[in-house]
Amino acid sequence: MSSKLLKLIAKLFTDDVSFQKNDSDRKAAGSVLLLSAFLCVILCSVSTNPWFVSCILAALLLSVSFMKAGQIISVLKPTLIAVAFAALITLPAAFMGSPKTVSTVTMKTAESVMLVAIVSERMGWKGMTRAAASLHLPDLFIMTLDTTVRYLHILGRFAARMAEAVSLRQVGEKNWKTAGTGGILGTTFMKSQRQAQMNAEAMACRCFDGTYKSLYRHHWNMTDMLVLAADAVLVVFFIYLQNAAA
Amino acid sequence: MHIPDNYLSPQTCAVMAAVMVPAWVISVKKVREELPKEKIPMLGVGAAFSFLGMMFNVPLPGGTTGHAVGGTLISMLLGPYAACISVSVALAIQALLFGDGGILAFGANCFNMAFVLPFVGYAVAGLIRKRIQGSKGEMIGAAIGSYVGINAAAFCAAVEFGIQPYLFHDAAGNALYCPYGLNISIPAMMIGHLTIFGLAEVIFTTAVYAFVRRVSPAMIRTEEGGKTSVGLKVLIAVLIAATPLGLLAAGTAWGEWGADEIAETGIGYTPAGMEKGFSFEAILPDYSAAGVPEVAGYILSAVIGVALLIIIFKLLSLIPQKKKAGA
Repeated sequence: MSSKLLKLIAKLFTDDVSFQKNDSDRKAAGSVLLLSAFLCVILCSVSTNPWFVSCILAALLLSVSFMKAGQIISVLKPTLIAVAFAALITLPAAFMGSPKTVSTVTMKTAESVMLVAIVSERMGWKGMTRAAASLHLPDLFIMTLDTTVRYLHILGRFAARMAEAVSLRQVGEKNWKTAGTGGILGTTFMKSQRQAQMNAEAMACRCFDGTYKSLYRHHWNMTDMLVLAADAVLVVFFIYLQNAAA
Repeated sequence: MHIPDNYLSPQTCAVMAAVMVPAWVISVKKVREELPKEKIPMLGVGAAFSFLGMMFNVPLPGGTTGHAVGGTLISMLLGPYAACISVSVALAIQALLFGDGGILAFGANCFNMAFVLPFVGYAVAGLIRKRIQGSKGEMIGAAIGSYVGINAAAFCAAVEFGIQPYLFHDAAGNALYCPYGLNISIPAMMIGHLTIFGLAEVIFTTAVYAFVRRVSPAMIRTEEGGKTSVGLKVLIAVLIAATPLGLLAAGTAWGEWGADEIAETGIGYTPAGMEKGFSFEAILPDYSAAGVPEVAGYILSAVIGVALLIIIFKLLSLIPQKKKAGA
């Protein structure tokens, strides 16, 4: 084994250790954050009180305002796309005499997507996988989720590059874009098969059999307690406002 | 001082907006040249202070209300050009989300509060700082500058209101827009601003400026660094929590009545331009939401406004970075 490779492995190991160390010092456990986000999304979805939904939206906006500019873009981009899509779908309701539905659905969509984007931005993909493992989700489920999201990105980029190449070849009246759709999808599918094979080989090389084992143990800290206390307050607030609305 | 829609004629609104366009262009250019990119998010913090300051309504005997603006404060912290942009964005958020200030009158409101106020305040404060050295000069400059600044802005607003009945009226002589001439608008606006509202601006400016100098000197444009201190964040949180105090002031500010209220102010009719004028439905009109208690709605509006302002300016801080990377 060459010294360069050894150095690389050492660096990866150090990064991983420092990632875990920094994470455990002050931050809340990933599993706690995931569960809190899930709870918040559920409560927002079932809430019939606009006051509750408005408060959550204000809290999320405040949370986003503390982020760095680059992170804010990562959070707002999917949120705005989802909001535009939700508004478009619910727009007929406004013409059918129920304009409130448009604002309610749009606001709830904005909250759910923004919350997920915030959690994803704060935890990172590595943290999400670890949180899912610590919640004792089946390994197969975690791995499927992990690879699906990664391959959506990889294959999406591949398909976009192919579509661009096909459109560049477009000459005259013939619509190469339409004619090439089947070809692009077929090639992308074959590419995915090859990628899956390569992934399996890479897993074997790293002695990874699809079981997520983490030697890292999270020690409960003050932030965990604060997040759980906030969850409790959120549930009480939700019940109080639901009763008030009724 | 937030001029609602239909108080000024569309022609006046167009002229005021046209006046503000070069002011905004020059301000953006100057801020990019003079303010380091790490300080751009500070514009959001400044705008948040201005936004919160405008939520604290102060009552005046007779039923009218007013508020501080904080334009001089931002101009002393970040420069007058930055103040122009900060207050303009704060006014835009107020007009679009909370219906405070008109959409058509946005240019006029920006001229008064985002242009006249910070530039006059900054110039006066600068003159005083030249004569009185040290922190004493700065505090006296902040006090007098903010007082003169808000009164200059109020005077401009009064003139804009006051010229309407002379320029725009029907055949019967009834005003189409603001019905009060200069003989009423100037004293009505200036009495409040020369006394209570001017004092509120002085207290707001000097208190926050002294606090910022002590706990977060990095916010001042001449100082290095670009991080908001914990003390400043706490101050914003305290101001947000205290905003419902603004609800104690009952009544409507002079010149901010609704079309349904103006006939009862003494003129006996509703001007035609107001009756059939432009109407805009804000998402959270008057800093309140349907089904939400008034106090809670006020705090909620403050949180949303402050968060949006900080987000907007953090995103704006990316623009110069991108330009440099491409160059």
